[in-house]
Amino acid sequence: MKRFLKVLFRRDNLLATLFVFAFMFVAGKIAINIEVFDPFSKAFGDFQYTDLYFSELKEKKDIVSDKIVLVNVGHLGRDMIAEQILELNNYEPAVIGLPLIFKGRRSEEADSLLRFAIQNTPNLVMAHNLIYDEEADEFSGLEESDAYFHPVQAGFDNLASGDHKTVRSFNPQLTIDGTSYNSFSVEVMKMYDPTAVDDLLRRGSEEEIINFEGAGESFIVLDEYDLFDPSVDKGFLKDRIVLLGYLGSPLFNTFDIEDKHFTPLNAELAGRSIPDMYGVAVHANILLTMLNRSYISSLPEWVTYLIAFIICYLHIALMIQIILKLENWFDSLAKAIQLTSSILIFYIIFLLFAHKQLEVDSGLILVAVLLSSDLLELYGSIVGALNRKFGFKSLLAE
Amino acid sequence: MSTSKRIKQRDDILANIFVFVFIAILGLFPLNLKIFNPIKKALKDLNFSDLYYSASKNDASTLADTSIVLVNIGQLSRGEIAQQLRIIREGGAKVVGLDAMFVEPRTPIGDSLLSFEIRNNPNIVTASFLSQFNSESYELKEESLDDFRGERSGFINLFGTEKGYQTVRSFLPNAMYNGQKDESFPVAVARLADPQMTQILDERNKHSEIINYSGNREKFIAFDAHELLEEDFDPSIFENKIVLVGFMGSSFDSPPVKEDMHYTPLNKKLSGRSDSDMYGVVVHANILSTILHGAYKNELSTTWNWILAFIICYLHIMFFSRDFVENHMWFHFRAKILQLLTSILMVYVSLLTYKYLNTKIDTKPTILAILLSVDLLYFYDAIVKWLHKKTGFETYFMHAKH
Repeated sequence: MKRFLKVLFRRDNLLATLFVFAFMFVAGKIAINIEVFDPFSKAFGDFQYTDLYFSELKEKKDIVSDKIVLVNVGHLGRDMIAEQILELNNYEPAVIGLPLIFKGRRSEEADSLLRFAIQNTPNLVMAHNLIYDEEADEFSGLEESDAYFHPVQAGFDNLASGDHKTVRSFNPQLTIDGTSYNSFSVEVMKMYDPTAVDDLLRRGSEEEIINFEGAGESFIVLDEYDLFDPSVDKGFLKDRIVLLGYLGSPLFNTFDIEDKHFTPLNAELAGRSIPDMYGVAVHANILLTMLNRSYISSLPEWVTYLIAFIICYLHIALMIQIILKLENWFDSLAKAIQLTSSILIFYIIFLLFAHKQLEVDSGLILVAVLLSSDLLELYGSIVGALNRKFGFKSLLAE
Repeated sequence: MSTSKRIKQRDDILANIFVFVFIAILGLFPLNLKIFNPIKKALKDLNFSDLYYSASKNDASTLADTSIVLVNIGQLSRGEIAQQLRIIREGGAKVVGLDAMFVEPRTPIGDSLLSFEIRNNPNIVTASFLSQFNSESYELKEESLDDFRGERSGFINLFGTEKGYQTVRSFLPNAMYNGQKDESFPVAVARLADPQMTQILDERNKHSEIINYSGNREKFIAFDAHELLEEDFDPSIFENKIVLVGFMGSSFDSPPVKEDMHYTPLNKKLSGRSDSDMYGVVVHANILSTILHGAYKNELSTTWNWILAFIICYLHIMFFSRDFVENHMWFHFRAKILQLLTSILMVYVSLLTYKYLNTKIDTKPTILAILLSVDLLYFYDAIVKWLHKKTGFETYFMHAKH
């Protein structure tokens, strides 16, 4: 035991680990802006290993929930969307979500019908969009439906999907100039299950991870004209959350990318792909996360740093011991250890994500582990040089 | 040659072979773990020659090929497409390539007008689409109805795009359909326009050819759907030109439509998530331009790519082994820097050979070998020292001062 503690608490262990973290800090500050690295950074830029859980490991269900029904608005005009809303009212859904913005005026007839439908549907929630000012790096205003359709109950439907980013999380609330706005999903849930909203807000998270259950196809779906088809039984709509939105024309057309987003459910986790989920289906997944209270918590950044430091320290301690005992085999053994522990770390992170709903940022931990052997070599060279020049004492300089 | 030099040379060769044996073993027993899939996929998408096109072919200030004119059919009716074809024919076009299929009847008037234009133009090439591939041949060919078929046709498939997001880098001049050779659409157009240049393609007799992209739509003379019908231009612009008629969005100003749009090396984002960038008809224009200018790119064969990798890796090992033995203290640091620099250099050299020697070198084997060489040299060092201890095997690495 004494010997073990001696191996574990060497000064070189600490100095070499600090050296690894100092290197990562400096490398992170000096971005390597060489064009040949650009494809690599783009290929892996928007990639997270936890996406593997959603796309490959999470159990797939044919229908993920019977509480939420999606209705496709396709390319219907305002008058037909109004007809859809009025038709839905006949079946007494608990809430109707319409994440669409009707900008400006169109034909008088269609607009007045839509206004009539909106004003006669007290359980209707619509959307507005928070305008993001890139220069100021803040939300600066609100994009709403034409005032003709007001007053409407609405929530912001912004999804963090700009520049082909994968949508992984949502903001329950955002603030502009001191005024707090609820998201579209929060507004919908307030009408369906206010306790779910209380539970969400009690968590106090600015951003929540969406616990994706399935794409649009995994929900009960009605196409554009199904609501008007007398042969379709619509009794199941009673007391349900009904979301109207664009789901492709024709329904779920693979190559239709209008209002479609990249999500962790994409069949291709990295590299080229086509967006996989319509915006309204993303909202449905957000609502399910709230309904199921299946929130995923993130480990605080400082805890992640601490874990990364400890894991890196243990690797360094082991590697220094290998250098002292089996120098000839050091590099080969170090690479084997790095590979094995990287895979192990991945699996532990997956297990935490899948079973404990805890997200750990694997990037920092893995980078520290993967750099440890090469940087330990460099540390050895530096302390060797210091030893020759200044008599600096180190196990690796002897 | 002194004995020590001979031993070093033998070690260099053996260490180099060791690197390639290791790569071969890795290839034979791939790590089939799901966690490696995203890395594999991202790397598979990557092709450094794309850097050449995205960096140099996106400048729309000059036209790439004035012998080809593009015409958008947008959402026009068949009668309006017929009108487009009439204007092009009367303008004296040399060849018309109609990259669209008409598989069912619509309005009698529109259909008859379109049929008349297609069947009465001997210089028109129509489109077909091959599907249901068994290991050797396609079993199904989709074509327009008889009334909308020209005397010549070619398949419009862009191979490797079945999933909708692979980058189109090459084309098949021919494919087997029911045991018979079938010609691709741009090759059929080229054969009618310039049989001599098409003969060169035939003589190359390659299964696939790299598309030497000239540019996107902006680099060609292009007419939007209604622009042509307004006839507010000099029709002689079509005289002796090859005109490709196809879908390029509802209009040039409207947001791009994913339908028949592909990823090409001209994409502004070389890898990762992005929007597709080129309509199929523009890809055909680029293929046509490649054929008409004989602007072919050759590919170094897999064997030569690996021979090149072997030679370059050997040169690295020669340097590394000396440094390893004689200046071990800073060896690792210097070797890692050199690995990084030569990997970057390899990419630049391959871009230069692509541009100036029209030869595509696959740098992945070379870069992989270089990147593995240092760590495997340590492994080799451990093995030969063990062998020395056990069997008296002579090795240069015995002199290493760690």
